[in-house]
Amino acid sequence: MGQHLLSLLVFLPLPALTLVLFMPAGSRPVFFKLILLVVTGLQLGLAIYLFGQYNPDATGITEGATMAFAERTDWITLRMGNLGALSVDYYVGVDGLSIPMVLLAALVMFVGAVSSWTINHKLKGYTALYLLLSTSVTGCFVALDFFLFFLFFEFMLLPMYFLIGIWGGERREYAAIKFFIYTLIGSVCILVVMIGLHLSVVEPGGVHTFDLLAMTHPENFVRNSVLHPASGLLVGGIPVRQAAFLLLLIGFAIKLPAVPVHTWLPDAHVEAPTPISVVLAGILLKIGAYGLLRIAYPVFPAEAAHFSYLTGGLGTVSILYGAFNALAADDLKRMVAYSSVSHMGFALVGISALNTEGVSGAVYQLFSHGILSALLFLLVGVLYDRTHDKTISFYRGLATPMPNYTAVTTVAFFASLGLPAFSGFIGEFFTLIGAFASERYRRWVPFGATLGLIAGAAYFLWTLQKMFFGPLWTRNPAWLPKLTDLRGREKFLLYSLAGLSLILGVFPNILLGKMEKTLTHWVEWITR
Amino acid sequence: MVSDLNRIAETLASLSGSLPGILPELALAALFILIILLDLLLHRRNHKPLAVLTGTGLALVLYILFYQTRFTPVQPDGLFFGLLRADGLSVYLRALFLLAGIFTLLLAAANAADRQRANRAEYLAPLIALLLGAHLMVMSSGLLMLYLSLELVSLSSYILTAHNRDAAAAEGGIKYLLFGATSSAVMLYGMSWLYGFTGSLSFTDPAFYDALSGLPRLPLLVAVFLTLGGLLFKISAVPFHIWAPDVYQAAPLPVAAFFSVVPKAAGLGVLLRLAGSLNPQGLPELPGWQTGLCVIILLTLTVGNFAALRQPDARRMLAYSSVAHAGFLLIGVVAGNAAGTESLLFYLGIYLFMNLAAFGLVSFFSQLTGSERIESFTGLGSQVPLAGVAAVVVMVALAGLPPTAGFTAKLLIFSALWESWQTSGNGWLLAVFGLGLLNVAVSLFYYLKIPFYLFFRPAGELNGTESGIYGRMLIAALTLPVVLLFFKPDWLFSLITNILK
Repeated sequence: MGQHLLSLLVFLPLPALTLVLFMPAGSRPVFFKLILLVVTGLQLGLAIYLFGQYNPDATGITEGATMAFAERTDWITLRMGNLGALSVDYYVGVDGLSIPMVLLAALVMFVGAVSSWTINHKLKGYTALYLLLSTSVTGCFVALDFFLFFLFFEFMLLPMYFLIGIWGGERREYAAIKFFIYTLIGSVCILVVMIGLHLSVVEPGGVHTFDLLAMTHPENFVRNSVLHPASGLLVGGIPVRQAAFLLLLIGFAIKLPAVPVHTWLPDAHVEAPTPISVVLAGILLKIGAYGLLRIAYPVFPAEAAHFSYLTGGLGTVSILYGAFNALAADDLKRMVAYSSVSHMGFALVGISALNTEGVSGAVYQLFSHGILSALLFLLVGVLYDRTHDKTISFYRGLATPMPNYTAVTTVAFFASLGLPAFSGFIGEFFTLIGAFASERYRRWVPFGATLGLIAGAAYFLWTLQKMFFGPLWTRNPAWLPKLTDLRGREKFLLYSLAGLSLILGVFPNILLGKMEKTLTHWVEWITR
Repeated sequence: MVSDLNRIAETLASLSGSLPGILPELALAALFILIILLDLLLHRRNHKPLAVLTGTGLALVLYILFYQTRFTPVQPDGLFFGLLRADGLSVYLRALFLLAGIFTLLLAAANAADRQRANRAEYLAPLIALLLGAHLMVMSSGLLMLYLSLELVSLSSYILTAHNRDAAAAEGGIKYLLFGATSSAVMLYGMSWLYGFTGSLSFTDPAFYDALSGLPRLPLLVAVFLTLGGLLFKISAVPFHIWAPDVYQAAPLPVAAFFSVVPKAAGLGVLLRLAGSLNPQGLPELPGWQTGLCVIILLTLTVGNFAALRQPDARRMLAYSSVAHAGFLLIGVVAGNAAGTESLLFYLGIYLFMNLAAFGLVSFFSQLTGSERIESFTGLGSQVPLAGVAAVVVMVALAGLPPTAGFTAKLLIFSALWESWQTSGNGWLLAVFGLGLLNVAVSLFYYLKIPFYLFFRPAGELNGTESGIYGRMLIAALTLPVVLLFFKPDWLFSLITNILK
C-alpha cells in the first residue's frame, strides 16, 4: 500500500469523475458540491499524512534512490528503427522540493472547492473539470518522468480553458483563449527540449529514457549527442545547451509568469470565477517556478549558472513592473493579479541567487504566496458576490458595514506586503539575504527587489485606505444594503488561511525542516 | 524457335506465379465489376443492397490481405518482373485504405441524404476503383506503373467530386480536373527526364540512384521536383493544395473524408519509396533533396495553418487542416531514416481515425443544425454531450496535445527529425523542427473554435434531425482509438515494426 500512496493522491478524483459523469445534469446541486468537497478533502488529508511521514533526510533532485514514496512501472516501450528503444515510465516520487508543493496543491484545491459553493451554473461540467484539474496539478508535482510531467502540464490547460471560458466574467472568451495560446507556446518550447533530451539520454543498457533524474547526470548522455555536456555545437551563435536552457526558461517563465511574458495573467485572473482564480494563483503559477527548480536547473546546471544574472534581473524587473502596475490598477482583482507577478518575481530572484538562503526563500515564497494569493482572491470574491463590481474607486468606508471583512483584509494585506510574523516575510527575507550574499548578479538586483517591497507596501496600504476607511460611500447607492459582513463559510476559509500564514510566519521550520536537505543538495549540484 | 517458346513459357510461369501476390487487388477489381453488373440487373428495384455489399466486400479484401501476408512469403525482387512490390509498407498502407473505405461507407450510412446517394453504383464503383488505384500506387516500384495507378486514383476522384451534380459540385470537379491534369502532366514531364538520365523506369533499382548521383545539381533538382509535383498534388502540399478546400466542400461529406485520408496516404507511401531510392541510407544524399523538401514542408505548414484560421465553414477548415497535416506527415519523409518511416506510418494510422472522426462530427452536427458553418454549432455541446466531448478530444488530437495519440504521433515524428538533424547537421531540418512545433500553437487557435462554439455560446435554433444512436456509436468508435493509442501506442507501433520487417 505504502508505495501507491502518491498514485492514490493523484488519481483519487478520477473515480469521482466517473460518478459525476453518470449523474443526471439536473441532480441537486448539493450532491456535486459535496463530491467536490469530499474528494479534495480526502486529497488534503492524504497530503498532510504524506507531509508528516516524509523523512527530511532525503536528498532527492538527482538521486533517484532517495525519492520518498516512489513508484515506478514501465508504461510505454517502443523500438524505433535507428533510434533504438524509447521508454516512458510511470515514475512518481517526492523529495524536499516537491513535498511542500504537493501539500500546497491539495490545500489550495480544497480551498477552491469550498469557495465553489457559490457556483450554481452548469454544475455537472464544473465539477467534472475541477476534478480533472485536481488530478493534473497534483500529478505535475509528483511526476519524475519528463513525459509524465509534460502530460500533466499540458492537461491542465483544457480544464482551465473551459473553467475560465464558461464560468468567467464578461471578457471570458478572450481571456481563456489568450491563456491557452500563451501557455501552449511555452509548452512547445519545453517540448523541443524534451525531445532533444530524450534522444540524448540513455539509461544503462542503452534505452532512451524520459527519466528526469537520469537526465541530470552527464554520464547518461550518449557520446556525440547534440545535448551532451561536451557538445560544442552552436545554434544561431550560442551553444546548444544554452539555447535549450533558454527555451525551458521561456516555457516556465510564461507559466510563472515573468515580465515580459506575463500579459495573459491579469486578463485570466480578472475574468476567471473566484475559485478558479484561487487555483490559478495558488498553484498553477507555482508550476512555472517548480519546473525551473526541478528540470531546467538540475539538468542544465552550468548554463543556469551562466544565465543567473539574466534570470535574477528578470525577477527584479517583474517585481518592480508588477508592483507599479498594481499601484495603477483600479480593478481590485487586477491589482491582486499584478501583485502576484510581483511576488513571483521574488521566487525568480531567490532561485538565481544559487545559494541555500535564496533557494529556500524562493520555495518558501512559493508556498506562502500560494496561501496568501488564495486569501486575496477569496477576499475579492466576497465583495464581488455582493455587488458584482470590484472597482477600487467605487467604494469608501467599507469598514463600517463589514468590520470582520475589513479585519481579515487588513491582515491579508499586511501579510502580503511582508510584515514579520507572517509567512510572506520569511520567504522575502530569506530571498533577499540570499540575493545580497550572491555573487551571481550585480547589486541592483537585490536593491531593486527591496524597492519592490516598498512599492508593495504602498499599493496595499493605499488600497486599504481608499476602500475601507473614511465615511461609507459607494458609486451605486443600491449596493449599500448588499454590503453584509462575512458569512460562516467565508469566515472559515478566510480565518484559517490567515491563521495558516501566521503559523508559518512564526514556525517556519515546519516547512524549512522538510526541504533543507534537498535544497542544500540542489545548490551543491548547480554550483559544482 | 524452341528457345522462344521456352522463354514465353517461363514468362507465363512467372506471371502466373505473381498472381497470388495481387489477390486483394484482383478481389477489388472483381468487386468493381460485380457492383456495376448488379446495378444494371437490379435497375428497377428501389432499394438495392449495393452499399452493404461493397462494405462486406471491402472487409473481405481486408481479410484476404491479412491472410495473404501470413501465408505467402514476400518475393524480394517483386511481382511481374519488378513492376509491383507487395512488401510490408504496402501491406500496412493497403490495410489503412481498406479501413478508410469501410469507415467511409459507415459514415455515409449515418446521414439520410448520404445513405440515399451511397447506394448508387456511380458512387460505389469509383470508390472501389480509387481504392484499387491507391493499392497499386503504394505497390508500384516503377515510374510507369506509378503514373498509371496515380491516374486511376485521379480519374475516380474527379467523378466522385462531381457526384452531387449541382453547381458547386461541377465547379469543384472542374477545378480538381484542371489542377489534376496539370500536375500529372508536370509529373510525366519530370519522369521523362528521369528516364532520360537513367534509362530505367524502375526507381527501386540501385542503378537508378547510381545514374542520378553523377548528374549536375540543377537538372537533377528540376527532374526530381517535377516528378514530385503529381505526388504533392495528391497529398495536397503547398503549392499544389489549391484544389483541396473547393473539392472537400463540393464532394459528398463521406467522400471528402475519404479524400482527406486515402490519396494522401497513397502519395506519402510512394514518397517514402522514392525517398528511399533517391536518398538511400549510408550513401550521400542527392544535392538539394532534403533542403527542397524542407522548404515545401515549411510552406505547407504555414500556409495550411494560417489559411485555416479564417475559415467559417467547418469543411473548408478541415481541408486546410489536412493541408497542414500533409506538412507534418512529410517530416517523416524528410527525416529519411527508419524512425521517420515508422513514425510516418504511425501518424497515418492515427490521422485516419482522427480525421474521419472530425468529418463524422461535422456530419453529425450539421444534421442537427442544417448548416456546416462552425458558428451554427453553438451550444450543441450541452445538448449532445457525448459528441461534444468527442469533438474536444478529436480537435485536441488534431492539434497534437496530450492525452491523445495525436500528440504521440507528433512526438515520434519530431523525434525522428531531431535524430536526422543530429546525424546530418542540416540547418534546414532544425528550422522545420522549430517552426513546425510553433505551428502547433497556431493550429490550436482554429481547432479550438469548434469546442468554443459548442460549449461557450448558448444554443441556437435547431432545424435538422438527429442521426440517433448509430451516429453516436460511430463517432465513439472513431474517437476511442485516438485516446487508447495514447496510453498504449505500442499496440499500433509494434504492428508497424513487425510488418516492416
